[in-house]
Amino acid sequence: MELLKFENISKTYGTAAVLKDVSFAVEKGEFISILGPSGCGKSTILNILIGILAPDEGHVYKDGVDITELDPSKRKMGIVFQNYALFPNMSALKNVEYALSINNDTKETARVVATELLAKVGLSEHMNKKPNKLSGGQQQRVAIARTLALNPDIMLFDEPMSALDVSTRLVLRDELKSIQAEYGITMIYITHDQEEAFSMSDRIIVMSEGHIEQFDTPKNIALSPANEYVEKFVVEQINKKIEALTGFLNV
Amino acid sequence: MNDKLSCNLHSKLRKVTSMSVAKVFTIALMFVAVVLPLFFILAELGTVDFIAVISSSKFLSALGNSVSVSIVTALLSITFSFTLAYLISRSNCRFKSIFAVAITVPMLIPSISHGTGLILLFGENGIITNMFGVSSSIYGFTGVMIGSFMYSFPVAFLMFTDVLKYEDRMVYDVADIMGIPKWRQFIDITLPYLRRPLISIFFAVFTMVFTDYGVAMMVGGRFETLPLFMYNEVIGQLNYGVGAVVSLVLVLPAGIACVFDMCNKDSGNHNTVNKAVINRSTKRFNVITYVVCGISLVIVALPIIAFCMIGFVTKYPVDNSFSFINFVKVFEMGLFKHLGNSLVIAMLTSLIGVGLSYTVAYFAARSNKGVLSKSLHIVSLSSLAIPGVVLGIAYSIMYGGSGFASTIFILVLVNIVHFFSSSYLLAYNAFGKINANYEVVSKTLNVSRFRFVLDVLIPETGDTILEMFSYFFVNSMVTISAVSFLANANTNPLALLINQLERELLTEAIAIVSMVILFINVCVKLSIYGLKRLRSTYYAK
Repeated sequence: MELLKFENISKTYGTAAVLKDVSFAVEKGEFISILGPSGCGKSTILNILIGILAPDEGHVYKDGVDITELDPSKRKMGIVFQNYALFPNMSALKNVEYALSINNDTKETARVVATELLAKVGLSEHMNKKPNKLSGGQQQRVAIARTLALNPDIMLFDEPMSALDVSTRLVLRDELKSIQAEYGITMIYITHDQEEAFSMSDRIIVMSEGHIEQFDTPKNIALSPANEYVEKFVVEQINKKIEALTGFLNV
Repeated sequence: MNDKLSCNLHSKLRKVTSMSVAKVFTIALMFVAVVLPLFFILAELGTVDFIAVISSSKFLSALGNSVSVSIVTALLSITFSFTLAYLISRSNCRFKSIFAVAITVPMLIPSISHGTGLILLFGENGIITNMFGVSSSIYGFTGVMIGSFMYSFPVAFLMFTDVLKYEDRMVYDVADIMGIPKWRQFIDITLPYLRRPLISIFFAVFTMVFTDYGVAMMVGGRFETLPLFMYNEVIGQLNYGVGAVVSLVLVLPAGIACVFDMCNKDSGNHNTVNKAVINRSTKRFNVITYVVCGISLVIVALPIIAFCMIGFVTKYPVDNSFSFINFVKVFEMGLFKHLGNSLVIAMLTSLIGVGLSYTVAYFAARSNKGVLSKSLHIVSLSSLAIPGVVLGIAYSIMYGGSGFASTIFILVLVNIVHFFSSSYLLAYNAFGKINANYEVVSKTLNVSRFRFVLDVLIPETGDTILEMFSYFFVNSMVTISAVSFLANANTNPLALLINQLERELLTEAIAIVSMVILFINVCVKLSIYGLKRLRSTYYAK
């Protein structure tokens, strides 16, 4: 079932066209990555999706309803940033509780839900710590729990693992996938890391210079890249990594 | 096509948010408070023969005096305060944080008190004159220079300390590894790094001295500076036209400095500094630090000791017995009334000033960085370019004769405008360091802007708010510039009582008043320090 539709979206800053007539659709429960180098327009897509930026042209639909002008708070979407954006003066628990209590949950319900969610992301022991007492991976888990608390239909991720070390990334990838499986949430994940996109996504949107080069499953992109750009930027990079690893194993 | 057009229009309309309306309103408000009064000065120019004023010998000699004393003082202040700041920031000697705080004490008393301190120490019957039989006169160029040095070097010291704090340690580590000697590192790394700040700080000190009349009033003697010339013309003879002409000249250096700073805004990100504290300490370095700090503490302490000695004896040097007679005298002259005025003015200025500058900085720093935000930012910084005395004259011309002009509120207003930019910058810079994604996250969590500010931003920037409050309060207590053209017998704050005492040659009384101002400001500073400590223990949990 089609949950989200981006229809003929264009966006220009001054004279620079950041998005040129971009269209795509996302099914409910899918894990979609938007992959591209910096400046390709992927963050602009995210800003339009979340509703803090209006497109110059085109429409965004969710469940068939035009949400192009809808306020961010009414879209039932959550967002997780690279720099976590946890409220620094609140403990992990407070960070998760806060949104719930603001949105009319009773204190008790908020506490129960927040505690459960933090347990789910493995932070039961660290609930009362402030963000600056948590590691990067732990902070990102709090941010994920906070976003889950409001029960969003879609979760957006803006390069959420770029600041984390490799081993933490690998663990978080798995956790993210299992959260998605459990809650059935649609996830849209922005990254410039080919490996990350290929290992997590149901489908990948490959972008460059404001338009979509290819939108397909990782397998199809790897086996039949749509053009030279996808071949060079995605497939070759992935192959290089595989070669490096297998070369190491052969020694 | 029609669809495209309507979409475009729609997105444009979306941009006209309540935020934009608030910004436009704020820009208009700032314009009325800061820029409009300056037009009244320009209008006043019509009432006087401009050429005649600027070619008069009085004006020319005052201009020459002001320029020469400002340049010499600025050079002296900068050399001394840089040495001090460099030594303190790079040494690991004990008590360095205490030294750093003690050095800023002169900022807690009015400039005119520094002049008084000099007279009490080096005047004809001064303590040091009597003790060592020194006979050279302190009045004139030397006095103004030393007095101005006294209140300006702590400001330069703070500015240098701030600049040195952000220098990257890694560069020096690499230089060490490459075997570059320390003195070459200083010449090739430190000095080039300091070039721009050095010019900024020179302008800042020059402007401070160039626009102050307090010290010259006290120890200038026949050496009349430009602001004092203006003060005498306007206060003494109600000659607003001449005041307007001088204002134009006084605005120049501050205006140039402001433009220079805006053009040379340090766009570097201080977050990339790896390790800021650079420890260059050797034993010899520490010894030099102790010596220079010792000298500066003596410089800072001497006037305060003089205030105590003179204030609490019957009549120095004739009768040196301990007494409260001077205190009683000042009390009879209405100490408490003026103190009350000062406290009310300082409190109102601080509360309203913090609220306004914090809100405006929030608009400018934490919303779409469009043309409106940038305009707001520039307008907010504009009061930096207007010296207090000029602002005072402008307000006095603009509101002269109105009922408002005789109330305490005009003093509050002029103080807020006078100190607005620095407080605004404190908030603006603090907001710049705060995660840029909070607002987006708050939106998706359905947390309103108001709740976000209340629950996250204010707790997070509490230290900055306290700093802003302290800045407004202390400066309102010590300022004698803008307010001197607007206060009357009923609204006179304590610092301006000194002007009156000076006319009556009551030096002992001035010592008492200076001590009272110092005492109050020290109390405020200590309270702010205590509150910050409380906050940090509360939030460390």
